Amino acid sequence: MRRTVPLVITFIAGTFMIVSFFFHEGSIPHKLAGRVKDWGIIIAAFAVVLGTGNIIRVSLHKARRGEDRAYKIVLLVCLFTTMGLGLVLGVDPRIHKSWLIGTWREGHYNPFDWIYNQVQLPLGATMFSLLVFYITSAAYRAFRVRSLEAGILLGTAVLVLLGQIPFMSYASVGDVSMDSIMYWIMKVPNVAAKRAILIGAAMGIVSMSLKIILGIERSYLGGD
Amino acid sequence: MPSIAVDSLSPVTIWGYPLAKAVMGVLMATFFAFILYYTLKARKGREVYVRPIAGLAAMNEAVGRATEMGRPILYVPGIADVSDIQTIAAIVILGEVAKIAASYDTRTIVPTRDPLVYPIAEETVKNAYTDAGRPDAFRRDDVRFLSDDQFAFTAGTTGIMLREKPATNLFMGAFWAESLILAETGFLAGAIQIAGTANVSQLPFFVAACDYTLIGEELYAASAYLSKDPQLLGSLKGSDLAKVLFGVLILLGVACANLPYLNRLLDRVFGLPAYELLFRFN
Repeated sequence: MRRTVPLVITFIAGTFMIVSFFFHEGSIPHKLAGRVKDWGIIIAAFAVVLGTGNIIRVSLHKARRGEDRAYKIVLLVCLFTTMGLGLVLGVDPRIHKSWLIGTWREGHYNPFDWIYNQVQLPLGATMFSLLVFYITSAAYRAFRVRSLEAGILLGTAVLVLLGQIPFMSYASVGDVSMDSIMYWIMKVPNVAAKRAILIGAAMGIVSMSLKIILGIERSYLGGD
Repeated sequence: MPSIAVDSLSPVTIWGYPLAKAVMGVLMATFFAFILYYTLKARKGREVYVRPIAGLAAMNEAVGRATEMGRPILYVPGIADVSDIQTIAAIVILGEVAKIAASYDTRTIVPTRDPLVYPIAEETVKNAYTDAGRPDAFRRDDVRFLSDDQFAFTAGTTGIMLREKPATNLFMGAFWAESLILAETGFLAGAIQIAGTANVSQLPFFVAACDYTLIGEELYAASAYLSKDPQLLGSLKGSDLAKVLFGVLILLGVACANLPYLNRLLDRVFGLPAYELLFRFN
């Protein structure tokens, strides 16, 4: 029973979604499929509560046990401060009204937005910019010539890198300019390999979906 | 002879129905038929050979290494939400990996980015530990929701790598810009790393920074490979044979678009040359 009910629901929902694809836009199955997708969004919204509960529980346990206490305290303080400001002062940047203190000053960020724009966004941008250093160290390892394949990779990478430099469009090998070599590498062998992987992955998706819909793949449900 | 409607602006239709959808339906039905046929065949006990996939063959060894070192394994099921099939594939693989980890009495840490993935991952790991006969070894705190912000999640996960020092990192599912940050941090922390994704643009980063990488469709084959379930292996064979058929169709399409004789033939049948038929298919 514990496995049969989810399998039946999966089969009905999955089959319905596939069949609805073959109906015209605006038809009843098409509209119903849209409704089912909306249900998914609503369920996901409830899951945020579960996720937040998990963060609080895990952080409290760890802080109590003394594991990474400082980090956990910072996390909990930030979580409750942001959540509290959002609940008390509202989150709408245009109206700035809240049920507790009335109208917030027009034309200013409310504190919730301020935290998002001045703290979270720059921190995210900082993490993203770290990629520069990681790309350099990963490229160094990838381009070490230890085999014929690595040598070809290095040669191709050098050509592509050179082709990206603006003044290299004036440099040429015989009659062929450097940027057209780069363009050919990116548009022909690169796209061919990408498409091969994409086509394989797309068929993998269809196969995986069918296995789940038909209940052939059921390991995610656990044992009986 | 079907009535095929062709005008200059609208998509090609057959009896008033979009030809693209009709062809897709036929191809999908063929694909399904292949998978079902070989699944039923495998159910009757016929053995199926699956080529060795290095990344999956190393999974046992990777978990074993963590056990020997007395450290946990870290499993990241991508950062997409649960409606992404890559996340579902990652959850299925998580079940198999957690079973291996449970049988070795090793912790499995699973950070999640999507709040809906978190309870599913928790249930999957819990079930795996129960199936392996070690329900007591399952620690609820090891499956964690970190943040739904991409880089906050990345910071949290790299923090786990540096503080809890997992000996094995597994990255399975959909990844974007954070892929290299995660993989490089794991590399610097000295962990053995296996990644798998169908996001083509992230594959080079994983190949450069991980010990093994599952490329595209291998991610979807992983569950069958790890579980050795005859039905799943049969379905794998069915989908592979369907791929061969589609490969032939693709070659035929290329030939039709490029060979003048075939092009003229299509022009006579459909009233459109092949390249235009292909362009107006969608």
